Amino acid sequence: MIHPLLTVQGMDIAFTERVCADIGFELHRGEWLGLVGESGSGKSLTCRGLIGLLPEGAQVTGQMTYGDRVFDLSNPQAPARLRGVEIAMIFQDPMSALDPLMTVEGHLKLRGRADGADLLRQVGLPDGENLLKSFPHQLSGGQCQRVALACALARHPKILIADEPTTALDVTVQAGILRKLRQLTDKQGMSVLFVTHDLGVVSEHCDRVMVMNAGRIVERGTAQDVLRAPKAGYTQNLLRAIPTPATRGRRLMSATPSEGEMSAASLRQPAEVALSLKHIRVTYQRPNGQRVNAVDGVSLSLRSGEILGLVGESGSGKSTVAKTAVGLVHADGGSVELAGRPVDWHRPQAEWRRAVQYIFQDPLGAMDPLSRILDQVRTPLDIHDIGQRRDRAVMAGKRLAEARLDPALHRKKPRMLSGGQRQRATIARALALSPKVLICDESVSALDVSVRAHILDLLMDLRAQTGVAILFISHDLSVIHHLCDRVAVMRGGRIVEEGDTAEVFATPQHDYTRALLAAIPKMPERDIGTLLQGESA
Amino acid sequence: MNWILLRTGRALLTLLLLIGFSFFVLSISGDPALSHLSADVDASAIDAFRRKWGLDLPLWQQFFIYVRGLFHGDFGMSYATGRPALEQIMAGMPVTVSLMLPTIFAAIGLGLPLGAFAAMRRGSTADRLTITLSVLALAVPNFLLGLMLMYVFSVHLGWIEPSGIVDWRSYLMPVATMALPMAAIFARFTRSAMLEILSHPMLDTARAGGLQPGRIKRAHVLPNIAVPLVTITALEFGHLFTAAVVAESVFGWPGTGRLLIDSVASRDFAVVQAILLLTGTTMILANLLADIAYGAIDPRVRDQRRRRVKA
Amino acid sequence: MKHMPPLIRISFGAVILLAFCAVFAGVLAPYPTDELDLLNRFAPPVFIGGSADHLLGTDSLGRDLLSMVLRGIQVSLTVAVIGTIGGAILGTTLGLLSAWFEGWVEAVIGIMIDFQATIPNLILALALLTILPQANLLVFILVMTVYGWERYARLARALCLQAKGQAYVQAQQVLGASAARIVLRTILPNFMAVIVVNMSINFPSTILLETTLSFLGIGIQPPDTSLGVLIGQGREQLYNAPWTVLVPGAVILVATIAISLIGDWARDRIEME
Repeated sequence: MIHPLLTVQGMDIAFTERVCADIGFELHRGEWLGLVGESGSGKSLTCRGLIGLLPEGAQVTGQMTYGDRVFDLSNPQAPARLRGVEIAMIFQDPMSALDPLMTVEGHLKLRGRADGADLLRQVGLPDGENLLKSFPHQLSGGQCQRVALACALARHPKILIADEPTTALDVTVQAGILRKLRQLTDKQGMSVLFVTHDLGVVSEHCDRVMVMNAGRIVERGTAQDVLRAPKAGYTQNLLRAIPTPATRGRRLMSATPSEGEMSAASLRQPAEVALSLKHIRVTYQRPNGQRVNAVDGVSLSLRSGEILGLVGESGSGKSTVAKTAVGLVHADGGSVELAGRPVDWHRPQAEWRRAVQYIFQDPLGAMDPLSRILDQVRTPLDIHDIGQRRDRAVMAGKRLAEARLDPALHRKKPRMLSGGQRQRATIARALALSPKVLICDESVSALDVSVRAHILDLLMDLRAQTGVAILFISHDLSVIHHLCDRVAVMRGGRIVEEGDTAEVFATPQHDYTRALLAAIPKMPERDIGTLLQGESA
Repeated sequence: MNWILLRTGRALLTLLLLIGFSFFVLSISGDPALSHLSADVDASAIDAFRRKWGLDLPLWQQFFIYVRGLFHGDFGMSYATGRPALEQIMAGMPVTVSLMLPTIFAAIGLGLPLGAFAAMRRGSTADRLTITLSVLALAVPNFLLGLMLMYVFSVHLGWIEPSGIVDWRSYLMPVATMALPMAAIFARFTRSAMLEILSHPMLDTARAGGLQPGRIKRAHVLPNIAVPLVTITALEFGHLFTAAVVAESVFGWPGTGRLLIDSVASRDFAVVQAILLLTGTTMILANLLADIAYGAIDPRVRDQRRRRVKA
Repeated sequence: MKHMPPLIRISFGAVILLAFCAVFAGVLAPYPTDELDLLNRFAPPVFIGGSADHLLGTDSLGRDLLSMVLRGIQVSLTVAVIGTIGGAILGTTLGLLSAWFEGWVEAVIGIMIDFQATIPNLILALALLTILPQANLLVFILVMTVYGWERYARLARALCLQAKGQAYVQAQQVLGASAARIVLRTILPNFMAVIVVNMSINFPSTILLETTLSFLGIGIQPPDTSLGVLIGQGREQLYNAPWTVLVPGAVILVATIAISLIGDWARDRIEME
């Protein structure tokens, strides 16, 4: 076997408590090594520890060998000499990675590159000359990340550490950047340590993968081996939580036959229309005075008991459409109808509020930080004067139980809960009004995959039990495919394609839908046997 | 450039409001004829007084005359001395400016490096000392600081004449009185602005790119810290005159600041409104310049303004 | 609250002591503040050799300094407390109004804030005191209330605007809560802590303004007294009776420093959350 380019041995990171323990791995020339884990698993800290970029107060031990040089990781200054020249790093948030006051050219010149335009062309920015004079705020997120990549590559490092570099970007942009990065690294024989939570990306791009959980590496191997036949229980659970074509319409996290499946079948019967949006138009005045159609004549209808997916990339207007349905945004044209009757959100009526509820993306942001969970669920009962005053706490508790939130947590404040628990609480709060329509605006996007799976199961069960209609907005096609009966694809404020989910995914008609589907990182096929085996374990 | 015109327009509007307010101060102050003539003068003398000062005209005409007067440098007559208010103010100006100039330089020269130094050594003894000292300096009223300096250096040690302008050493105590609290403000502000920038993710990018700490400071930290510092400097212009008011009173300097206090005590409205107008105008100008400076420093602000002008 | 630094504990102790003095000044004072003792003029405090009759000495008219300082604490703290609370209420209300109602309410309050920003606080206070009756405690408190309102207005406005865009407020809207309920029961409680901390940070500057104006002879007027008045009266005796300045000066320092330290500490704690 060839000598590895980088070897890490026995790396521990501690603040007041130990957060990473006994991290050790080898990185070979020209390979992509994936580092996978959920939030808080310690994967970002591991990367930062390698080049001495941990926050103050971090205690590191361990050893790193780069080529024939050995570094003691407890001294952050030691690996600092490698930064930029041998090991470079790019980060998750491309917008804040660059200096807002400095041109793109300034960033590159600072790193000794006068041939900025060439470098930009290499990272897939063909219009390099013009971009050089631009400031970061004038660029899109994808362009910013490409510039950050150009900065990282400026001094021809041998290793690139990429910490969730495409997580904040749209799936088509992500696909473009990753393809470009793969070309570049193959050509120059660079190695990549690729941190991500997205197993699809690992499957498509990484040669080998390490899975991290709670500060430890729990499994490692070639990407295909690990994804096809995971050995560690944690990895098996992680994989099971990911929706795939095989899981469509089934619960992800429990072995019991899903009631959701039954309902999906019963859904073929025509039901009444619960929510319909007709020719919705929303215009925004850009700061330059130009009026732009954020939503341009969108019509949707949602029947009771149905889950309709609304999919699109950032800026497609999908969230705006959802907000017009609850009056958070006022439509400039078109109409909103609840159960066939038009509503005017300029003069909201309590009855309409009860009929349609909304789940936000970030559950922590959607809850009053000062108020206890039970009180938050009780609030809508107070507002709408539902039930006897003294019974309301009990009613709220029941709703929380339906959302499967542990009663021990009912008296806690939102900050004390995990992301998944908080989202359960906001769902319970919305359900307190027994709405006919539930709008989920990217409600599972900020959650880790295993937590997401539980929430998806919950939504599926709720639909089956209560017959609530769900408008499910997401940028994530695999989740849409998994959960939704019908799907509408939005782009530039219009719906470009709409239809039965299975049909749209099997035979997409519109070019954009095809491009979206092509950009989803593909997971290797798993046979249903592995899945069931995991469930019984 | 269009944006600057717009912004100047807004400054002029504020100025108009300021003029309106000072006219209000002047006209609400009661009938000067009654307060400035002795009680036993006859009605014709009062009428003559009113005609002389234009007090018999309708209010809007008075305002018009007032504004026209301002443009000709006529800020009204001091009721106390009968001399033009502006003339009296200008007489004190050299003294006041000679206090304000060294103060602003001392405050920035002391506060800025101290704050930057503290931020770079966050949590160290030097940092905590800077914070504590700045809390102390801000908690001491200017007049008390002045009296304490006077007590120590004049009464106790006998080094410096307590009041009046004798030689260059006379400047030491008033300038220190004015500059110390201001330096504390600059130090605290610089520190927090610096801390914010030091935790910005762009510095991780720079460090990961192998840039040397000194290089990062010059290229990223210093330009970014300029924006908040311009703001605070413009704001401190207001404090500068306020501090001069107090320092001149404590150390008995014959400047515009002490003139203001004397005029308030003797209810010499003309002088008070003239000083109000002048300080207000200075502040409006300082804010205008600061806003223009943002555009020069920050391309985001520049773009935002370009767009807003188009709208 | 367990991990309160010793300096903050001492500061809290000092504030409580001062508050006690302010409340019980009349009971604690050994002499009436206007009682002249012309035989005992310029008596030094007991710790530099004075008699126990006048613990903190006497002034140029032989008035007991301890009694006057107690009354000074009472007046200065009362004016500052009322002024701070009044300013906070006035400013916060205006700020909330301008943030919640767009249109002319916002425009008018915005112009007021802009205008206030162009006139330094002391200068505005002086201008107001020129046109209003000077020897009137109510007027003076009104001036102190006007002082600093725009800081709260800006803060409340910014916080409320920020909250309006946040999901937890939008969630209340979707649940059907009225505007008044949202502002009063959701938004306001959430930034009350910030307002209170700002009050403790602004409180010293209110004391500073009161004592400065009184010192300059245009604030609290004799025969009543305040810490600023005492220093103003004592400055002529800085040579022969320095305690007449240093004693009330020390009290001001203790008050402003203690409250500043507490305010800073509280702000750091809030920021950490």
